[in-house]
Amino acid sequence: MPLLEAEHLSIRFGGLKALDKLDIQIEEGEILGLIGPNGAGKSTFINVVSGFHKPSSGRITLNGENIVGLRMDQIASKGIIRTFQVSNLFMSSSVLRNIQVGFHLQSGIGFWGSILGNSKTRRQEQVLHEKALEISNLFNMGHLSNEMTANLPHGHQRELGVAMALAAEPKLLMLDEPVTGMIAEETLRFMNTIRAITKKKGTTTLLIEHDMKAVMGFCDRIVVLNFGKKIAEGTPEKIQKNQDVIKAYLGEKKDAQNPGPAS
Amino acid sequence: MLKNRRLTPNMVLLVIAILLILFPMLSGNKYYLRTITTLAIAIVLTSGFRLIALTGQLSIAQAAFMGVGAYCSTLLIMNLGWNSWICFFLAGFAAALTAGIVGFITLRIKEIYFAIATLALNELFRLIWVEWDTLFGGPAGIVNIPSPDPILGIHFGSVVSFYYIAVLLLFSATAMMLRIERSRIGLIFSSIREFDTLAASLGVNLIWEKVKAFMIACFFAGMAGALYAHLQHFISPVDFTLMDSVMFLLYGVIGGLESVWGPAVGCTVMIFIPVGLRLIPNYNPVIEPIIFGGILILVMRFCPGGLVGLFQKLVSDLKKTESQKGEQEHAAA
Repeated sequence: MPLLEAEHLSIRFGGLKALDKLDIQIEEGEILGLIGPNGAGKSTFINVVSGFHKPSSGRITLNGENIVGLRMDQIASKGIIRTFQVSNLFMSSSVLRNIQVGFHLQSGIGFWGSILGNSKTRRQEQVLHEKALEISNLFNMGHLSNEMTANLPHGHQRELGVAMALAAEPKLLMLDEPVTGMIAEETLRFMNTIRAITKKKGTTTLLIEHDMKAVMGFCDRIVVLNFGKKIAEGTPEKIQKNQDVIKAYLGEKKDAQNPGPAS
Repeated sequence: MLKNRRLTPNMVLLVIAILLILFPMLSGNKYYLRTITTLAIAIVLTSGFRLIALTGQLSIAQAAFMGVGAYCSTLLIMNLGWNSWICFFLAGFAAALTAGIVGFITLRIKEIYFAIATLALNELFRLIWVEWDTLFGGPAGIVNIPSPDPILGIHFGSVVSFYYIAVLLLFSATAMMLRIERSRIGLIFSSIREFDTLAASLGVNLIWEKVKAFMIACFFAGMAGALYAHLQHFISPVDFTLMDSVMFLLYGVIGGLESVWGPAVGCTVMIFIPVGLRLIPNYNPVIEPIIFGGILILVMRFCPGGLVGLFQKLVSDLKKTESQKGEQEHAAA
């Protein structure tokens, strides 16, 4: 059984069908790339799965359990954590505090524990503090942990968004264009870090990206969307050669298909 | 050497706490004792207002919840003869429970809309107290509220004893606010204010967290209300009006809502300004609202962080110039 299964998922915004009877399965432990040109419905898919939008029709199940209609925090507490396309962070808080919010579902510190501040709570808080430092170190931000988030360079802000999501120890991590605006070296380093962490922890990952090159080396499998419909699915090698995908990205050619400079 | 002598915030607090405890022994002036008692109640209410504001919501109904506590405790004592100390806590729980029920419905709406809902709520409570006169005594209110029951032979009825109860309530409310501020609860509250969607995406139950803040704030408001009822020996709907709720907002904004000390500073300044003004001969208190309004405009225009924010900014500017001076001297050498 797949970890997450979307069946016949549709959502309309007025006359626009942003998702059109979409079927997607995400297998446990894999890194699935969801790609497609702008406006294909990639982010809408994440928004629907995370509970930000309600689908017009269709089902989404996590381990066989329906999650349509749940609030965002309920879906998050089931282990589906997403990041945002723009750097959505707690800008006026420190890096460490951002990561600390990510621990919300894992902290194990209850209301009365917090109020009383007993030694057990203090120990737990100490552990969380160390874990937060550890996560910031994974993304080479250890020296910035007390810096105000708004002052971070763009690349670090993108990384912090992912760090917060990882702090929540998700079963399914959904990354919405995590490398937007990064230069090539940054992209490579960041994607390698994400892959290393998620593979080590066995975190199932859904990666959205419209830049095909960025995802090819990192995904186990790729699903391609166009106009809310799935047009292709398979390994990166297969997707690269798929005519429909090339058409969706580059438009149709009148003459015979050019195999490209790679040949 | 010089650094060790510097006053740390904790030391300042300790000094203030000791002064508050010793004050009745140093000065027997009942007017000042009563003013500080009122001040303590106002700080408790304003701190609650700030706690709700920490989650990004403005509540203009804190006076109503103070009233819920006051009426609850008074009715239980006078109609059923319950022990006033038990009623003191029950007043807090009644206000918190009311806040929980109301909050669960109204906290689904955000920001200014929630503020409007609480504004209506305050008026709703006032109307209930006015119209349901068989229970709440109507516009005339309830008179002859007794002093709290004696504990171990100690009688509570004097101005000094009320002063100490109020200071004790202030200390416990402040301790609670500080704990919240420094624990994960405060972190989650402020994450909602900063970015609610992001907080929800990380698993924060927005409504429940906001209800929690609302309930804690109203718990203390209710206890303060019960104390107020004993203090005045008389309560009526006029004591818990919309205008009183707005005053807590005013105190909070002037003191600064960012800092946990803002409410204390705001209340102290705004309650002692009239006390000071009355020392002026031929002073007419009618102009007070004009002065308050003027202060509010000045604070909002020139220090949106309130007086505490202004102080913090001045301190950090001072530190900056000091370090710059140090650098210059270093460069010159």
